Amino acid sequence: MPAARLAAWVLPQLAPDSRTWTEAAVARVKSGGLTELGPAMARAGRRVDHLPLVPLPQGNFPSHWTADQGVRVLLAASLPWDPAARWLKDLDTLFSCAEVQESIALYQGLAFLPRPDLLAPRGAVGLRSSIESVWAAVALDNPFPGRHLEPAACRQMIMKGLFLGADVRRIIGLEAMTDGELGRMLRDFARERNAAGRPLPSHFDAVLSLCPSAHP
Amino acid sequence: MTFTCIDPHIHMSSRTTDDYQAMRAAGVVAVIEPAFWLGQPRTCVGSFRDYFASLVGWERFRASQFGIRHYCTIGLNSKEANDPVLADEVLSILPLFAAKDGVVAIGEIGFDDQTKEEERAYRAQLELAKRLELPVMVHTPHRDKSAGTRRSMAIALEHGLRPDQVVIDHNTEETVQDVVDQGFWAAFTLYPQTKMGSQRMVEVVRRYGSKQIFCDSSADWGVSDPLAVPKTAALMLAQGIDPATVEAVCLTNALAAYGPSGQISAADWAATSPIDQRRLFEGNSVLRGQTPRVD
Repeated sequence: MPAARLAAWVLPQLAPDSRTWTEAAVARVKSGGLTELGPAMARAGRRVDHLPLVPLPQGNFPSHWTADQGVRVLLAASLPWDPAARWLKDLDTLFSCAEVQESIALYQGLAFLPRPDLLAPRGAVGLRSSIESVWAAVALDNPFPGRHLEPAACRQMIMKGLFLGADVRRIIGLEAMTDGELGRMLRDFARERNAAGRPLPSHFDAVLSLCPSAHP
Repeated sequence: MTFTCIDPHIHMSSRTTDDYQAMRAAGVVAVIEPAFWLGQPRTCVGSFRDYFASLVGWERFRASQFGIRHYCTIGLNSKEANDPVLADEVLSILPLFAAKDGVVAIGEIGFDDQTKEEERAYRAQLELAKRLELPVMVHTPHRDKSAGTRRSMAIALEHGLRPDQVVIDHNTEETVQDVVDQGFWAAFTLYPQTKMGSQRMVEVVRRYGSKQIFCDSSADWGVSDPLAVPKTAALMLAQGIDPATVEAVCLTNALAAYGPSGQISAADWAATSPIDQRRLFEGNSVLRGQTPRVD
């Protein structure tokens, strides 16, 4: 989704002074790059409220974002993205300096940045996080994994989600990720738990039932 | 009876939770932790980045678990400003941290050896402070202090900062007059034995009053006293300094100096949040098997 569509969705939902601040900050980021984006990302958390954004019926808008999250993604999406090498380096710096709330917004917004096709490695970093809310920002209610991650990475994401006790049914495109190999991993996991006398996680059966049967 | 005070210059990441508990019991309600060096030089920008992240993250949480509000300053200190390649890398990430919640100033910056490189980094950060509309905390050198202090003030004015936007720290009897006369904030660090101590602080306040003056402990990785501020407050009261003056020197002047950042005010601790040691920071606790204190 180009930044313009994101702006058209987010900006009208902001309080007037938040909108004025955001529009000025976006302009500063477009001309000044990362050195303007840093302070704007931090301040968005204070300048914009944390009320939920209303998703529009058409157009694949996110369903669980708050206004400050929408603004943070819009700011990040306004960073000049050409040349791509410089943009990736800037994004790396942005992500590595982000505190938790900024991280959550950025990972939620991966699919809405200019070149999401280049961001699979960054998505993988988010999925390796030990901070559950950061992991969930990539994995749940987010079109990014289904569109841009390799099948192996998606399978690991589902397994980790089960380990975390997350509601993996919220993974967008889950059904397309449930292949024979995932079925094998899940059945092995079930055997391991049964042998240990330990219960299976919530939603385990729901995911397994989506996988092709072991005995075609 | 404890006297409510703040320590506006203390390196809490070098201190143990015993210190937090003792400080809270002695009346310290808030601390400002400046970004500084750790005792041996950092060799890459990643070390600075992770340190800044801990100042706005884990350390703030750690303090809160003992009932103390934690704020910080962000900056490239003078002791680590002499490698220009590294300095430039650090300067480039400062904008990503300096506007985060709880950052009350750019600092602690200024001179150590008074080299050209230190001056370059100092000037660049004064410009950043202006751009972000943040106060500045200046570390004055311990060697050639008077000349270094004068130079630090002159350069700040040259860059168009107002003196009331700048805190000149680590003052002595020799530097204070000039600092106060030029309209800067004059902070005094109370060391256990050397540079400036509690009794001398009493004399400074007797002589100069409380206008523009406040004190701090700068407790850090070396031998320090994290209770220096409450002890000095008690000493002042015991020696007949009036409570309003003591409150200015140990609480309200520092608030006035750093308050314009919009990140610190007495309201932050006026309604005391109950301590809840069941809370976690990104999944981690300050406890190691103890029963959580829940007020």
